[in-house]
Amino acid sequence: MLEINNLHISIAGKKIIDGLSLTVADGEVAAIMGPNGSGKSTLSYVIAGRADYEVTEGSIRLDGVDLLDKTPSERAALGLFLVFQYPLEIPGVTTMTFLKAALNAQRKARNEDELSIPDFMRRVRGAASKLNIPLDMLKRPVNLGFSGGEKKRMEILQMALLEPKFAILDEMDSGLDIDALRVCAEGVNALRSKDRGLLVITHYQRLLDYIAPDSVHVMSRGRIVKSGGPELALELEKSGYADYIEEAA
Amino acid sequence: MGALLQNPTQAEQDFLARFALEPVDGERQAAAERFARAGLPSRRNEAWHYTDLRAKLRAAPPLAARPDAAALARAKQKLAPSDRLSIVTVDGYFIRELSDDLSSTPGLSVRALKADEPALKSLSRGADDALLDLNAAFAQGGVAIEIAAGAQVEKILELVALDSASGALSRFAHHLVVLGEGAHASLVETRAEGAEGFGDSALFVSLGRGAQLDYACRSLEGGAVEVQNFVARLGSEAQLRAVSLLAGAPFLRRQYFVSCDGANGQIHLSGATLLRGREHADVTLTLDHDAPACLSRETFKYVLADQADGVFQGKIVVPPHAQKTDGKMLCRALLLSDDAAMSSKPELEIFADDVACGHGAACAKLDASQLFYMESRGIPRAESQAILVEAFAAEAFDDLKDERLRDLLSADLALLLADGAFT
Amino acid sequence: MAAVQETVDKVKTLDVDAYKYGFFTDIESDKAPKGLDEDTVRFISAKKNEPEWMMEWRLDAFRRWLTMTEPKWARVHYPPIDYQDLYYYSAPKSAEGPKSLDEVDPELLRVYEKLGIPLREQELLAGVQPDPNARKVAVDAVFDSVSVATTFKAELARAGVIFCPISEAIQTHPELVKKYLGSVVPVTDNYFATLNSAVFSDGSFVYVPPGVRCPMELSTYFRINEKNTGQFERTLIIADKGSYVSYLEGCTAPQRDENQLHAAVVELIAHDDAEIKYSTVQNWYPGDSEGKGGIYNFVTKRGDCRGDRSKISWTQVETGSAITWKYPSCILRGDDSRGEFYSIAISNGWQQVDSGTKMLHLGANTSSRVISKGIAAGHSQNTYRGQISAHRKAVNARNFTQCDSLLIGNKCGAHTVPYIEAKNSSALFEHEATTSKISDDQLFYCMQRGLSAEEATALIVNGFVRDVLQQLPMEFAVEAQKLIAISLEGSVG
Repeated sequence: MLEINNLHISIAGKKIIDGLSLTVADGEVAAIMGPNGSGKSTLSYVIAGRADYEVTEGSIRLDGVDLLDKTPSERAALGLFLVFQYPLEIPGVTTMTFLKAALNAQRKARNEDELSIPDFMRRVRGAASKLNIPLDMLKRPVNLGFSGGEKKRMEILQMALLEPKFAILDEMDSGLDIDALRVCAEGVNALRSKDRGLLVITHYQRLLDYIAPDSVHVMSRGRIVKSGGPELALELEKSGYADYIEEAA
Repeated sequence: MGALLQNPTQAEQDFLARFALEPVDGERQAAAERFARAGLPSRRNEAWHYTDLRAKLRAAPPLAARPDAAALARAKQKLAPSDRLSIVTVDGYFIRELSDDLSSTPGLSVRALKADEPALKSLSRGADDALLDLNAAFAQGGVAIEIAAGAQVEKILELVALDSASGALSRFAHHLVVLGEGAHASLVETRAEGAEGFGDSALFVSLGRGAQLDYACRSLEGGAVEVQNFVARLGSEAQLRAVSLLAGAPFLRRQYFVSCDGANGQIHLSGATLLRGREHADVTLTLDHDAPACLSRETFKYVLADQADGVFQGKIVVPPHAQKTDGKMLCRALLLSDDAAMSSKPELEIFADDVACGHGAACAKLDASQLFYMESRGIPRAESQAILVEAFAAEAFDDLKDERLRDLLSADLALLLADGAFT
Repeated sequence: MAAVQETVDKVKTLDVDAYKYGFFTDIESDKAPKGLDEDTVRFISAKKNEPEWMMEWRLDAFRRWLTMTEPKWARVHYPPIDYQDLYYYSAPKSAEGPKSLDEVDPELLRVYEKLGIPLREQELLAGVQPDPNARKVAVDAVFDSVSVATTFKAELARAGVIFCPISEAIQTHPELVKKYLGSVVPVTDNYFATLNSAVFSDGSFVYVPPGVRCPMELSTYFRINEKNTGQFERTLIIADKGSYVSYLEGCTAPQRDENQLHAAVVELIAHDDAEIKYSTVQNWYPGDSEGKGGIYNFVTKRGDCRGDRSKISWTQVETGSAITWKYPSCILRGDDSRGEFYSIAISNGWQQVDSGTKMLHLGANTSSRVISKGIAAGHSQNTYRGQISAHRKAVNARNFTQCDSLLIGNKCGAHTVPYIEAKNSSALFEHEATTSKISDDQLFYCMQRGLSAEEATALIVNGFVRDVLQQLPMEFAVEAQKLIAISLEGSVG
């Protein structure tokens, strides 16, 4: 369970998140929707522990463990996973090497044994085939020269392998055509389970056609201004964000 | 003074004798003393490795004096009318009577440079070079062109460097261009000082905050031995676009000492150098990114025919505080003859970690398949070559924002290529 | 990424001062008196029972050296070296040298173990019968200047390959030594090469006869052990027509307070259709956290592609030494010959690296390729200096140079100084250089996937140098990868 309580965040003195509270239960799929500049991406970065953000107040807990004093890798080992809006390229490091390094680092942090190579390969092959990722692609450097769709599929592949307790999808649909979106969304849906919470951050309702949320929250000016069920997303699709921007102001 | 230098050459003795003959003071004295210690640079100086001035300059011709009436009359014949605002120098001396009357141009001031103009020393601080010292010791009678803050001079300013046609002389010119905050101007330097003697000229440029200067140097006839210095400092957000076209140079070294003193400055330095016969030309630049978030682009093209010898040395320096520097330098040479030679040394000296700097250098001959393609379309070989050479060289002019300057250089280039020496 | 993890674990138990190989081995040694004069040169020559011609060669070099001045480099700074305060000869104490591995001082074998010499090679050194199916590596271990053990001699002899200490080659193959020694790096080449010519203690000699593909990788481990011992290795490798040899060199040194001078000379000669591959992993003591101590590594390495269609390839991983001054070069004399230089140079702490290559294109259709990856961290200065030149007769000379620098922190410097000289219109030279940093976003991305900052840095750096690592023989590549992580320890904060 992810619990965010009265979170206040600034960058260089400018307030980005302003008293945000949100709880996502195990097995729940929550969606955060909001206009550009409402602080959605900041929220995902802060949960994952990126530097340069100043948390002035509030707390973030995963299964009761306070995340704020933890490094990004410690949070990852606790089971937190972020699907990046813009996955990074790492020249010279093959995807296979990267996957193995990440998986074993997390296992080690949890005092689990490293995976044997055949075991690792079996898992990778299984996950890759579900996402239509050819193994040759895994021999190429991480995200280097990949298309937008390939990068996102690679994110989902990592999620499948790392089996996080809680995953955040930051604008997963950006840069994806409809076919790529469907493949990625199916990948995510396959990973839905009663133990795993998901936080879907998006600007458009479109993504929620593929990943059906249990709850929808509207974010504006750094806080949640309205919460509801899936019907809220449809309503937003019709009326836009204008009302909420005013409301928050 | 003078005993400091071991085994001076004839030329060095000549210069030292001039110092002794005509004592100078203050900054001039200090520069003269530095020269007396260092002498003329030779292969042994890392920065002059490919251009051995000490070996080349056997003796120093007599110092050019302020031109007399007869000399001015001879110079005047070389002046061609144009719609540019002309500022004329003869043997390095500013000649008001040959220049256009600029007193009515708003925001523009053109005056004689003072004997000990403090700006010159401040602009060249940090540049350690014997030829700048020699210039500082001897140069006089230059011009100061000043553009007031916020002013935009519409017409092109043209600095025309003529000679007095009175035999081989040593010419030491120094001129100053100052753009105040937010000022905009376009400047052409047209060098036509004849093919004789020794030249060591310096153009000092100061750009205030947000000022923008487009500058083109047309150097189509050089002295027997010539050094051109270009010294510039940019305030924050200032932009300098400086392009040179060098040709007809028996033995030329063009040096750039450019520094970004304020954040977010932009520098474009480029040039095309076309050499033939036994000509030798060396472009050496030092670019100090002395402030954060500045951008620089350097593009230098060489076309070398016959036994010509091209040299490019470029150094980008990024100190620790110059984070977010973006610097790219490129040098490309076309060798048209088996006897031509190109030496290039693009250097990076980086002390800051958050920077994106790079350089590229390439030399090659004309692309045979491109030539064949053009010939197969019916364009004769010589013409095909000329087209390719022109396109190759003209790319260096692209950085200029002022199209009129680009056209001027392109016309010069076309003329240079017209006699077929570069095909 | 087990290797990286293992390294990182190991590193955690150390701090910068606790250099991994900084132990002192207590073996009695046989030294020449401190200082350098003609008598020292004669002493060294006599110690090795050298013939008259060799002693004269040394003395000639020594006299030349006296007339030379030590070079000064723009970006390299160190206190003056007192050449009279060094030992020029030191040999592990043993009457006539061991006749078999059983006679090797057990202390030596323990040293190999601490050095991390692969177990298989230790077994070989200890006399264990090799697995006939295993890939073979012959080790000519140079321990403080004198080769004490050579393995696989018999098998190499069957192939006709001569692989022995150069001191032995002077006795047994004087005609080869006379013909080739100093033929690539002339006695008067530079201050340090001339000094080496006068006082070189020992090193490896390799001769591969025509048409022979050397049946194994040849490898040598260097180690500076004795206090204040200048190291003057001399290596000579000749690949005769149509032959092939791959040579590996790796080194570590114990911790010291005084700086130690190392001025080796390596000469390679490749005849028609021959190929030499020379790989180095250099991990000498770089100095402590304040820049004190550490090795001065002033090395002259040069290969001569003397024959048509010959090829010489240098690969180096430079992580150690206080100062590295080193330009493994190729003279491309034969038509269609090829030179390659692949380099990883890592500097941390107060290290100064000035390294690069020279590719001199003399013959027709010669080609060269240069890939250099420089990584600067801490207060270090890392300079690539390279010269590519094509002479008038070098028609169709080709060069490609890629030179990338990575900076970690803003107290270090990364510099690129290429000299590109074309005297031939058919030459095609391309040079590219970039400087960049590890972006915060890349680090965050890796950390979000569970890697620590240090692991993430090591991973990204290993990616950055991958093109060069791939050029190394397998076992070296693994060792190099570990070294890279160790070298950058403490650089991320």
